[in-house]
Amino acid sequence: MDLALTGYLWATVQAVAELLGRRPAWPVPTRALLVSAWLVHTGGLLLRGVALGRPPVTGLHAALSLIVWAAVLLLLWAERRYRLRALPGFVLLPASLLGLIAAAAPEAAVFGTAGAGGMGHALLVVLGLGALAGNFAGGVMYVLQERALRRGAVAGLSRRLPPLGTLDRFSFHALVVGFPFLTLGIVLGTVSAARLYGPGWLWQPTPVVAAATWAIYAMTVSLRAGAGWGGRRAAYLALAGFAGMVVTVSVSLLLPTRHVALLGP
Amino acid sequence: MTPALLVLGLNHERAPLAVRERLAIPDGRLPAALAELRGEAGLGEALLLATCNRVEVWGVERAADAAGAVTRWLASRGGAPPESLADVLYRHRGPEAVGHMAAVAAGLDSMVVGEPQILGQVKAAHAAAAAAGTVGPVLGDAVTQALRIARRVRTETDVGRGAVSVSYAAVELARKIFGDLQERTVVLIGAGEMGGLAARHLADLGVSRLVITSRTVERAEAIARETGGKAVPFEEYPRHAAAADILICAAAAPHVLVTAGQVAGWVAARPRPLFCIDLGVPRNVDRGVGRLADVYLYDVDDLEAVVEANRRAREREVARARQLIAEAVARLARTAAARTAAPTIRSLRAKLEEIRQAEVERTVARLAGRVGDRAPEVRAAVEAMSIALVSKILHGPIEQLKAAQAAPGGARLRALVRELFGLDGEDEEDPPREEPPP
Repeated sequence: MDLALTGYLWATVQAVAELLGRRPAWPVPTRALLVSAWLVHTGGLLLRGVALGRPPVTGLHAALSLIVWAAVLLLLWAERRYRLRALPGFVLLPASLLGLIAAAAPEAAVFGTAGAGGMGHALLVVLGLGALAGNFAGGVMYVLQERALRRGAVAGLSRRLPPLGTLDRFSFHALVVGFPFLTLGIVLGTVSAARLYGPGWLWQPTPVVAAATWAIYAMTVSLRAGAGWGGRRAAYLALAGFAGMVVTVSVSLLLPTRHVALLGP
Repeated sequence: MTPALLVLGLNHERAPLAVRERLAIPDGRLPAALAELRGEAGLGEALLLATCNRVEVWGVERAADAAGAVTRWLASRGGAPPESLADVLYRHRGPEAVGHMAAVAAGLDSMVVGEPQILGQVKAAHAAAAAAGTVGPVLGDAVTQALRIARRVRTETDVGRGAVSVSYAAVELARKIFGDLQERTVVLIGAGEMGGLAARHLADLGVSRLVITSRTVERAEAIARETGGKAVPFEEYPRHAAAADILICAAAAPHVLVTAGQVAGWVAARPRPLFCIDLGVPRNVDRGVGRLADVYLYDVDDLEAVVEANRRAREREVARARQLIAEAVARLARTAAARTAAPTIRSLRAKLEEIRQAEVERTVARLAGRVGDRAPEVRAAVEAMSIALVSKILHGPIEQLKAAQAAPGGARLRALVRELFGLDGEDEEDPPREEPPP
C-alpha cells in the first residue's frame, strides 16, 4: 500500500495542479501514474487475500484501503468513459486523504468472523461507495461550474471543468450504478446483524444513519428518474447524500458500536 | 561567415497605420520583393510576413551589413529616409530571432493576443517564399522550429483560449452549459446583426433545430435560408421559445418580450436547462428570468464582460507563453552549440593521436636494440602510457569546450584552441561571428 499510496499522492498533486492550470515540476502522465499505483495496490490486496484465505477486509486499515482501491478503479473508468479531465482532481484529493488515514490506522485484524454475509455486505457497500463518490464529485463540479457560469467567469477553473450537461449525466449514471450496490449491501448487512442480535439491532446508530442516507439517495433516484429532476437541485442532493454517507461510514467504523463488534473476532 | 538568422520589422505597437500601409506588399509583388531582398538587400534566404498589423523580413544574412541594407530597402518602399524607420524597426538575430518568430506565430504579438489567423499567415508566407525559391535550409529549419514552438504554446497555455467576440462568447457559454450542441433547439427572436451572427455560429456547430422569428419576415427568412433553419411568424414566438434549449432575443422591442413567469412555466415542464441570451437594447428579457433554477441569462454587458475576462486571461498567459518559448529556444541553442563544438574536439583528438602514434613509433625504434625479445611487452607499456597521458591532457580542454559551447565565450575558446594546436583542417568550423571583439 505504501508504494501505491506514494503513486496516488503524486497523481493527486499533479491532478490538482492541472485543475488549477499549473504545470507540475516533474510532469509524468497522471493517468499512467495512477494506473501503475492502482496495479501495485491490486497486487498488494491479492497477496494479502491469498495469505489470509479470504477477502482482505480485516480491519479499519484494510477497509479504507479497499474503498480507495474501488474509488480509483471507478475513477479510471469514468475519466475515460465521460472524458472528464477534471475528475481526478476531485476524486483523488479525498481518496488520498482516506489513503493517508488508512496508512495511519492499525493494521491489526478487527473484522474477524463476520461470515459470508458480513463480507458480502462490506464488499457491496465499498463498491457502492466508490460509485457514489463519483456522484458526489460530479455534484461538486456541477455546483462550481454553475456558479462560475452564472458569474460569467468562464476563464478560470470553469475552463477546466466539463460542461454542465456532461456533469449532470455523469452524476446520474454514477448514482444509478452505486445505489443498487448500496441497497443490497445495507440489506445484507441488516439481515446478517438481525440474525445475530435480533430486531433490537435496528435501533443501533449504524442502521439508523444508514437508513437516513439510503433515504436521501432513494429520494434522489426517484426525483431524477420519475419527476425529471436534474441540474442544480440534483447536484445539491448528491452533496447531501454523500454527507450522509460520510457520517454513516464514520459511525460504522470509528465508533465502538455493535457494527464493529459484529464484524469483530 | 556563419549564416546568421535575422528578423527585421515593425508592428502595430511600434508603427502607426500610416507607416505600415506604405510598407504593405500586395500579393502580386511578393516574388519580386523577395528577389530584391536576396539581391540588393544582401540576404541569402528571405521571407516576407506582411499582414495588416506587421511587416517583417525574416532572412539569413549573406553580406556583412544585411540589416542596414534591409532597412534601406524597406525605407525605399515607404518613400522615406532610412533614419526615419530607426525608431520603429526591431531587429532580432540568431536564437532570439527564432523566439520572435515563434511569439509572432503563436499570436503573442497580435493586437488580440492569441488570435489564430497569424499562424496561418506565417505558414502562407513560408509557402510563398518557398515557391519563390528564397527559403533555404537555415531559414526553413528556423521557421519549422518556430511553428513547432508556437503550436506547443497554443496547446500548453491558455493564450488562445476563450472567446474574444460577443457572438463567440455566447457560443462558448452554450457549450459550457450543454457540451454537445448537436441535439439542441435554438430559437432566435429578432433577426438583427448580432443575433444573426450568433445563430450562424451555432448553425456551424451543427445544432439540430434553428427557429427564427422576426417582425420583418424577409430578414428572418434570409437567416433561415443561410443557416438551414425555419422562419416562423412573430406572433408564434412564445410557443417555439417554450421548446428552446438556447433562446436568443435580439428584437428591437421597446418592452420586455419574455417574462419570468413565462420562462418558469416552460422550464417546469422539462428536465433540461435553458440558456437565454438577451441581445436587445432595451433588454427583451425580464431580469427575474436569470434567478430561476437551471436558467442562464446573459445580456450584452454580461457577454462583453466574458469577452473582457477572456482577453485579460489571455494576456495573463503571455508571460507563461514567453517563458515556454525562451526555454525551447535555449534548448535549440544548446543543440546548435553542441554541433559547433564537436568539430574542434574531433580535430583536437585526431591531432594528439597523430602525435602520440608518431612518438610511440620513435620510442619503440630507439629501444629496439636494448630490450631484445621483450619488445612486444615494451611496446604495449609505451602505448598504454601514451594513451593515458594524452587522455589526461585532453580531459580538461575537452570538458571546457563542452561546458563553454553554449556560453557567450564558447566561440572564442574554440578559436583559441584551434589556433594553439594548429587545427586548421577540413572540418573546421566557421570563425566565430556572434562575438565581435569588444
